[in-house]
Amino acid sequence: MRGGLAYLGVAYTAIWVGIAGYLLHLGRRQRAIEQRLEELRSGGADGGRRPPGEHP
Amino acid sequence: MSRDAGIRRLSLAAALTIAIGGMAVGLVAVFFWVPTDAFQGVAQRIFYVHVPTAWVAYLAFALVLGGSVGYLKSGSRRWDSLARASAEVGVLFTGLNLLTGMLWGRPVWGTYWTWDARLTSTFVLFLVYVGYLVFRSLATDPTRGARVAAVIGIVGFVDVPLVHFSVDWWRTLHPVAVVRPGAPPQLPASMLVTMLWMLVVFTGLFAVLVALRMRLDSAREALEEAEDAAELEPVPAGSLPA
Repeated sequence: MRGGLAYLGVAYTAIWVGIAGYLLHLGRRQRAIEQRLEELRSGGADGGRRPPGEHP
Repeated sequence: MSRDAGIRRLSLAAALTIAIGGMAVGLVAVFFWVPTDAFQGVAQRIFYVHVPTAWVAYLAFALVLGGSVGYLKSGSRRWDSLARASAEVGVLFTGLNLLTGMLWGRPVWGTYWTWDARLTSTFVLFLVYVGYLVFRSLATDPTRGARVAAVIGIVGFVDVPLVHFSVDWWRTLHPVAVVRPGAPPQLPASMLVTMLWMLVVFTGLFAVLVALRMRLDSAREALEEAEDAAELEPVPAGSLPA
């Protein structure tokens, strides 16, 4: 089983990168929405404009 | 931030910390406790993430099924949000399952991929739910889109038992399950305990990811309500992150 360690390393790295990447992606989207909501509630300068792609 | 939202955020952070801690314990077991497989060598340790990703994918698509049925029956956006969140996380884990399977297959079978029943049906499962997510992102009428997506979510689940039993129904390169209900496990105790531990940890991680994804939908809903209340114009495309 030559190179088994390399395949093992790539597999475990892929798992952590995949999960961590998804967590970061969710966090970024959440922050963008919350920031927008905060601006709306505090009556920001560009208040009330809908972020693109944030429709249900 | 309201008190409830603060508590929810703290609970999610605590659950995520526990899941990461559980994962660390699991990794110690995988690399320092379980013995190295006599035939497959170290590559066999991919097993401890490959099987849990498959389990989480099954669970995710079962929740898509449940959420879709719930949405069609009640019309509640919470059910729809559950289905959508589970589909997204399920696609992530199915992709990771395919990838880890390929990386395990190369040193053990001598090939990354073969079109046997288990691999092909899993790939079809991946495509079905990628299609579900693409359809959802392209749907212009949210209500109609959610209803059609719910039907896709229900029909798509047909592939899950097909994936699971493919190794029993057809001759495949992929081995049959080593742990079956009613039969003694074909694994040493340390391997079995580690695998079950990783199953629990991945299930917890899945629950946290789905909760975070549903929280995003709730925030989006609150934003829409705030915008509707303010009766304001949409921003030009590309000016805010999607």
